[in-house]
Amino acid sequence: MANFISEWGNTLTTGLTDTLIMTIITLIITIIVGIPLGIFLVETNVNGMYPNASVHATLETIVNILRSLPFIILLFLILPITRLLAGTTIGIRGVILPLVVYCAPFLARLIESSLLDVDPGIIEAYQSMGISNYKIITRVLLREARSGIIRGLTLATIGLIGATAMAGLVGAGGLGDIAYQYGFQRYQPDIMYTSIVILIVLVQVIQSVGNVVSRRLTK
Amino acid sequence: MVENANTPLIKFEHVSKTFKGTAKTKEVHAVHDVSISVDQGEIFGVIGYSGAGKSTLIRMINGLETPTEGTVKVNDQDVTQLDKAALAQLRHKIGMIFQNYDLLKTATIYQNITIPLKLEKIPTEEIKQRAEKYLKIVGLWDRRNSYPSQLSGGQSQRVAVARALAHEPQILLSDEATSALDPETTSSILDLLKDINQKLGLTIFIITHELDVVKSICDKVAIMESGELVEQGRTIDVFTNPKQEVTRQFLGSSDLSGVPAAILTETQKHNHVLLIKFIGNEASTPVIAQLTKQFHVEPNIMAGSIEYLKEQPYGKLLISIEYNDNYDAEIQYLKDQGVIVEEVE
Repeated sequence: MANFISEWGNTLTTGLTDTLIMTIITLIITIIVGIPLGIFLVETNVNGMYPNASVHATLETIVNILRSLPFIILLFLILPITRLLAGTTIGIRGVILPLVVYCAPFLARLIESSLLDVDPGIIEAYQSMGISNYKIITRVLLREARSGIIRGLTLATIGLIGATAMAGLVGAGGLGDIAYQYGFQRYQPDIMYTSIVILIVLVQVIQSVGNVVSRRLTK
Repeated sequence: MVENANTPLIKFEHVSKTFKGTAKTKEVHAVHDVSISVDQGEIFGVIGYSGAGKSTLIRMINGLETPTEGTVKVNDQDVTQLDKAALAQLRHKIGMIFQNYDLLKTATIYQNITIPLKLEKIPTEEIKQRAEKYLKIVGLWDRRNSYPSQLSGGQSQRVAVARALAHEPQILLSDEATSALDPETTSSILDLLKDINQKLGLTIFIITHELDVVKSICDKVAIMESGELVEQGRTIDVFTNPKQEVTRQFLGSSDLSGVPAAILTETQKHNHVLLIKFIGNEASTPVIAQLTKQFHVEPNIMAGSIEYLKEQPYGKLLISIEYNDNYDAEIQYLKDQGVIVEEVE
């Protein structure tokens, strides 16, 4: 055991750190992009506050196209754009953009469905009080949808951790990469299982925290 | 607030609303040529079956819907001509309550009152005072830290009323506010509305499909069918003397108070059957007694009822009088006593 830790401890710690860094940075950008995108999907729809068929159709198409691409394909497909925006296509820096492009449409869909769960009557009630649409969206709609949003975020985060496993292909590291490199290619099952267990624990923790927070916010 | 007593507070002038059809749906004339005026301090009810256009009508008052023709004026301002800011201002002065209460599930009762006020940038101290005042008026100050899910339907509707009142509106719109409630809770909410109307001088505009709502609190009523107003007037007049067939149908053929048709036919072989309607208790019995004295006939009471229209008793009596020579004079006599008489065919 002591041997194992002294031999692999550093590798695993670095892997976990890389996974966490990739997840956190991507998550932040994904939230910034995905939540407004989800709101736009809802509000430009026929029953939304700003119905606009062409804008809505465009957003739908973009989201659907991105949602149909497996991450591994997406990673290579947008290489030129990644190079342009991030300045590099390797390492953590090179994988953030593809991860965001992969994750944000997914989160947007989850946000969309949680917003649609809010009783439209509540929105009408607030409109009847003379409150602006912007305030209704930011202060009423998001508030009422918050437990669904947290559940969506939990789901997106877990999906994101899965996608980071493939980041190793462009040298971004992470636990998934370690499991693949050492465990599979060099056939060292102990290190593979260890990384997998850490991933499982990580996902469990995120899901549990998500559940607790979501339940607290339900009321 | 100084009001010109002659100007109606809410005025619909030949209002129509047509929802354009799409490839899949037909064009719908939700409201057709409706004119209504509601005075300050009145409780005005619009009654009709669902789909009659009531919801569209009430939403035109605060601009949630816009008419395709005609104008809707509140306080002499044309609602459709207002810009965004003025419309928001108007809406602050018009409270609205709904069938499903529409409270924030994620907020306490107290927050449900204060959040809209905060969004309107009302000073914090003022918000606190208003929340306390109006939650006390609806009798839920003790429950201020509860969540809507912990309240009954009636309590939730009280919170919605408090939320509307907290804007200190001039008008309260009630969109089927009691339709999801049981009869007992309904009457407690109606009492609350009546109370608010009297104590705060609030003008209330109600749409409903429940006859009891109109009977118990509305000063005036309009009957709506397929987008059109069939009849309107003081509740007591419309109930005692409906002009239109549709109105009679809506008010129920309760005029005959459930007397079986066979018995009616049998009685009519030898008797005139008369339906007598009167407003106020006192008129009824003496009239019948006087009839007996004057004409030596013996009216037989077949059915009768007294209902209360906003505390005003309104009675119906179904009587039979044996065929006799003075019939015309008897009818005239009854009419002279100020009751409404109809021979039942």
